[in-house]
Amino acid sequence: MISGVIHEQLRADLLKFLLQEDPGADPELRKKQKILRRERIENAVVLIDTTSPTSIYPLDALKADIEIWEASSGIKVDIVETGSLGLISAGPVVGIQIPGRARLYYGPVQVGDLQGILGAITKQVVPEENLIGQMILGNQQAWEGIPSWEDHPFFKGQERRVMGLCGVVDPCSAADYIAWGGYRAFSKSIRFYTDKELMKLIEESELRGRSGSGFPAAQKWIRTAATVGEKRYVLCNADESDPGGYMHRILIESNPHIILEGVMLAAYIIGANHAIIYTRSRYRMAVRRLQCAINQARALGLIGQDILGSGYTLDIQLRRGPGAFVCGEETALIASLEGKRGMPRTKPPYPATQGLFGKPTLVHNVETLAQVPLIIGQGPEWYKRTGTESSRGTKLFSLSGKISRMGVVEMAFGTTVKQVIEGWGGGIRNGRPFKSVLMGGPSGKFMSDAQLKVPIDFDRFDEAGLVMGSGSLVVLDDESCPVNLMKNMIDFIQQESCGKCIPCRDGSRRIKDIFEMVTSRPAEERSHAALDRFKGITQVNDLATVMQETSLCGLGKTAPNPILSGFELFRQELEEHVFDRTCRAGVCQNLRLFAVDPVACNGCNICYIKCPEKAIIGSPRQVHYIVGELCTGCGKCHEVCKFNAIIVS
Amino acid sequence: MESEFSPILKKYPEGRRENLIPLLQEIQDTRGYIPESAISEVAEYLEMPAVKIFSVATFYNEFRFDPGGRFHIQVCQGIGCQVDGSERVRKEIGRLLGLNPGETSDDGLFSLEWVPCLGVCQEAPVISVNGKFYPKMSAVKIKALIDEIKNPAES
Repeated sequence: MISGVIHEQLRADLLKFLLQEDPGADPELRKKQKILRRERIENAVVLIDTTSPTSIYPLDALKADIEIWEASSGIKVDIVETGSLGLISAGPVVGIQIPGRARLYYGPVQVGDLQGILGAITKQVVPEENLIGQMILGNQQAWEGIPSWEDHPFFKGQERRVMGLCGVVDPCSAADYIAWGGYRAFSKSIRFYTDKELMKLIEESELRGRSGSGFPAAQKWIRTAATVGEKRYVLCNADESDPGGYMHRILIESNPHIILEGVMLAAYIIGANHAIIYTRSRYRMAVRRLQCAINQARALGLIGQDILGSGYTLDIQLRRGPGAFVCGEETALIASLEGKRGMPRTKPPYPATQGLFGKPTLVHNVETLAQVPLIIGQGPEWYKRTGTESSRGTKLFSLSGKISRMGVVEMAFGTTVKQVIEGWGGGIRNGRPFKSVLMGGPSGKFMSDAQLKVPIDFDRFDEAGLVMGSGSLVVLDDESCPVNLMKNMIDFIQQESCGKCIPCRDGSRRIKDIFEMVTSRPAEERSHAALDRFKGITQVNDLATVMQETSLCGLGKTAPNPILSGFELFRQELEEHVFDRTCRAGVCQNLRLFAVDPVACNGCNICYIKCPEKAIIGSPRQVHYIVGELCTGCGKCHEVCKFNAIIVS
Repeated sequence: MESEFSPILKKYPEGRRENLIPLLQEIQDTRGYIPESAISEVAEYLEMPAVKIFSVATFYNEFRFDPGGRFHIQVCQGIGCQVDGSERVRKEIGRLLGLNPGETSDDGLFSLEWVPCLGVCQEAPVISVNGKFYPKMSAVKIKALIDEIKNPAES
């Protein structure tokens, strides 16, 4: 599978898809297309979501289930590994299809469920438990009375463009992608259009970089193309390292070919013959799938010398990023590719004029490049139909934290964060009160209730002083402590700071030390401890501002964002930590104090057994007591108590 | 001179500096870590001072210079996990094993690593032991898990 071998016959067919003016007009090809799209199938098909979020589930047991059912029923089933529809909290999502009928998606599917579901469906009955909905492909017969998957609350109203084929196609199959119209934009472009004509389309589409700043892409492209040089590079930044975001990972693992096609088109348009995709080494599955996609594209002659007889030559390499958050910055990424420490340098010169090995280089992230095949294939007019005046198209967001439904959503610009959380996210988990959203990970900001109503749009966010980041949304409820999160975010920055410039290197460490003091209770409050804490917290604001203004690269400049926004929003809570030494969310471990509720305690003795500090006194069938001085606030008693008798204060 | 790493070095016949990171990655893929002998060999091959190679290798999170424990524990540091209480899990593991991230226990049984995101946010907080995931961890579950790893017969 990883080798990316494509059979001779299939290869010939796929090339026909790419080269013919209208493959739909040829009945022979149309039939093959239907088979490749799985609109028409011979055997029953089970599609299993095999992206990294589902790697935690026993997928092998699911497959074994299917085999057992196959043997007992005598009906043959083909198992297809697909990407993710985006909904990860209902994982693993499984699609089931029998000949002639629409596909049904279920999730979560547990081991043992599948036999029953398969048995019912083959008898033309649809079990409705854990059903997501049906997906009608081509002229399949719909299931009566069964809702469409697009009416499921997680999908309803999503504008699925980049994610369009995710969860529908086999990510390791170029044939799937081509049958759905993939690589046609590229094969047409290189044969019939000049780079100038195509550049015009990019300009007209008003595409903006999706990495956070929203820089107009065409400006970068034109500058790179205009710089004289014998070699140019396209760099695809697939090194998603934001600890709160996983949209790029899901996209790569679900449809690597769309990214590849974006890279190819970008390379052709700016006149580059070399492209490098830089992805995170830890993303094992993403690495495998990208490599497989590259191998297949090479086997089809879409990468290499004289592509499809157009005379254009392109080589694409996959490089594994050895893990450094700062390598998301373009000059640091380039340094890393050159075999150096991934440290950013001053700009200008921008990579557009002096990038990799001093050559003009176009750097974009995965999501931006994945838009390109859509723009070229469907035209800028179509592309601009979605979104707002200043931000065209769609944006991917990953939802995590205390939210009911987690996953990757693709929505049109102009939607509000409130809509994302309450609509697709299904609101706060367990109906708890909402506290805040951290948007953009360690370089993002906490958002207030009012800010949730700002439409998601590069310009509107700028005006409101908000940060979109790469698109991670982490939702906090009343049981999450923003102060603790602020500490952890700056701790992350402190670990990941490259150490080149002082404000970032030392500033982050200082802020972390101060927050460490604020969130933990020293065993004994010695003479200066309180004073240090007060002094520290009064200085944090200045420190953060200096960091913001004087750091060299984006990492240092944006690192104080969670701190500064948190200061504004959670002043009260922060003061409680500093002065009252309490954490109202009960998260900051060393600030929590536990007590036993004498009415609820029935003396089961479990807390006494589990307490690592021997801080609980009591014997069976007697009310227990926690010795405050011994308690370190680890919270184990709270976790094990089945009678809610441990109170946090 | 033939050595353990010659086959890897031979894949990069130009011996240029930009191949340094892929070289180190392949060495780590085959050996599980980067031994000191490999650094000096790479240094010779790329005609670079060994200290420069160390400087690059230590910059990135991926590279490790000791073989690690028999049970390699990775704790997710993603924000999703943090919101669901991964800090308590982290501290509890550190306390039980007496380890800081990046260290290996004296008996060679455990090594601990904090990773940015394991990508299983829906089951937060998550840890992984030798690649096997454990969902929805808590301080209490950690104790049981470590006991189970230490004495597999008793469970």
